[in-house]
Amino acid sequence: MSSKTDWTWFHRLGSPRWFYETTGRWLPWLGLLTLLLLGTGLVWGLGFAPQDAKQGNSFRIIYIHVPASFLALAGYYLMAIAGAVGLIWRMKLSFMVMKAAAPIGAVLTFLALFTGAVWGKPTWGTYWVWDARVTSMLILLFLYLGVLALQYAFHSQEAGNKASAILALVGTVNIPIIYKSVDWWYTLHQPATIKFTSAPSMHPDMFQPLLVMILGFYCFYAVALFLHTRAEILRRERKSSWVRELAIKEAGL
Amino acid sequence: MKMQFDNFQQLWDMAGHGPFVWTSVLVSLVMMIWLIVRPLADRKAALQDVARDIARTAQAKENLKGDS
Amino acid sequence: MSRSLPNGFTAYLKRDLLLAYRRRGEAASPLIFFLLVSTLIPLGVSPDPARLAELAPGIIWVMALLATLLSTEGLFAADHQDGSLEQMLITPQLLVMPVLGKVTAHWLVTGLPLTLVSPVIGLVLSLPAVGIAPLVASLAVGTGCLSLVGAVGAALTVSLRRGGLLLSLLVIPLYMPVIIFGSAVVQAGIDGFNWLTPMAALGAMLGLAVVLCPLAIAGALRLVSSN
Repeated sequence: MSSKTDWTWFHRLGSPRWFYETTGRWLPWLGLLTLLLLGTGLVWGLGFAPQDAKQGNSFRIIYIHVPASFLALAGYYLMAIAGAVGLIWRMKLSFMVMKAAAPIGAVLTFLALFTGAVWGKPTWGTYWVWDARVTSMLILLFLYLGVLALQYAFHSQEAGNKASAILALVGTVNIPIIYKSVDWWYTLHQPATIKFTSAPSMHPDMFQPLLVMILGFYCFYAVALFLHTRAEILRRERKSSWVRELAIKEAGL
Repeated sequence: MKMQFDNFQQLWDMAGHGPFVWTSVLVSLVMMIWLIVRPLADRKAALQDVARDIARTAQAKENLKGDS
Repeated sequence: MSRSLPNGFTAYLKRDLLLAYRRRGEAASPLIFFLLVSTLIPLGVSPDPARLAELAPGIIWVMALLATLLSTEGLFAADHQDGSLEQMLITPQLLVMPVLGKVTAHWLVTGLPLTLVSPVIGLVLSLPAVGIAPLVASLAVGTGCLSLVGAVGAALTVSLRRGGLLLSLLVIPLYMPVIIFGSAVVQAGIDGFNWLTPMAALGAMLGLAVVLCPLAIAGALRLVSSN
């Protein structure tokens, strides 16, 4: 008589091979969905949505800027959670996911900053402005770069993973503190408030393509994450038999 | 819901905002595509690496058999 | 009278203070840095008292931050090199107590002198007299936060050869809320607002740091030993 919970599903989840084979099945569909959502959203947003009364057509940058910002922040939490799971349950796969999430999140944060800067020029006349949102995004980029740098600074893969996980967790506690501090700092120093079109007050014709783009970016993130993790799995598990068989099959030996 | 621009020239120009919008779109697309292509290339390289290693060990075994 | 169980806090506090005393010159370098850079500011910016007064709160805080950052690298380095870090890791006590002892010693040697010297720096940089009290208060609490958070970075990078630059990259984003509120306390004092409000936020940060940082530091140090 067993009174213990059946944890096999959890341990199976931790198997790199299982992850590789399952994501291999999902990827074609996810990829298709991503292309569909992003394609539709972009065409809709760039060509069909009405332009903003004050900002003209450059407001269309929102269709990339906002989803990128969302995913940049969400991606950091995902990375930190993956790190925590890896530390607590010593799950190799979780560390691999954490390692994969870092460059993706860093690129998305950079895109958020870049599109924000390009958007700022025609709107406020300057590429850079130290407002709360931009400053917080910049700090997020530094947090990502720190995790990336730490990951590769150690000789031992395991030490690098654990150090990055600790740093990511410390960063997670800090993110709300940083965002609140910067927000407070900005309202303290801000003479005139410049608001760009915020989501709730947006006309539905402008908001709907944004929703599509956000969903599309989520799917894109999943695809990128799976691809990066799969590559990492192959690198790390190259001594195992299933990888060797796969390599033989691919090479046609 | 109607098309906001009458022709491709207008779409490209975006009433003067074109350079900003299209720079953002193109830079983003390039970087996002890189985020997909890079791991795919890494995967291929990793598998080729393993295959080369297998071939090398098989070759070495052959050589050993030939010597004795 | 019963003696309480030794938990390593006082032992490591005393040890680190003694070690700092033996290397007095080295221990004083953050303070000297702080003083020297204060002369750079008027030379680089302007000797005009009005302009200096405007920038003083932020500048003093940035300099205090940099001085603390400089000294953080050495927090665990010496112990790691001579093996006493390993000793600390195998003691039967909870690792957080020796860690807290070391970080407290670091603050006593770095943050506290900075705080005590800051009125002089304020004077030199034309800080209005009404800003002195908030400056000292904010530095006293803020440098405590800086020591704790910096120690996390020092623990993560202790086994790396070129850890210094990486340490800065890791720790500076985490320092930002401290400097935002720290200089805001001083500015509020100068402008006549109630500076106890941002001071409370700073105090809350210190409270959080005292509880959470030792855990992160202990985790990071254990990682080093199994590396």
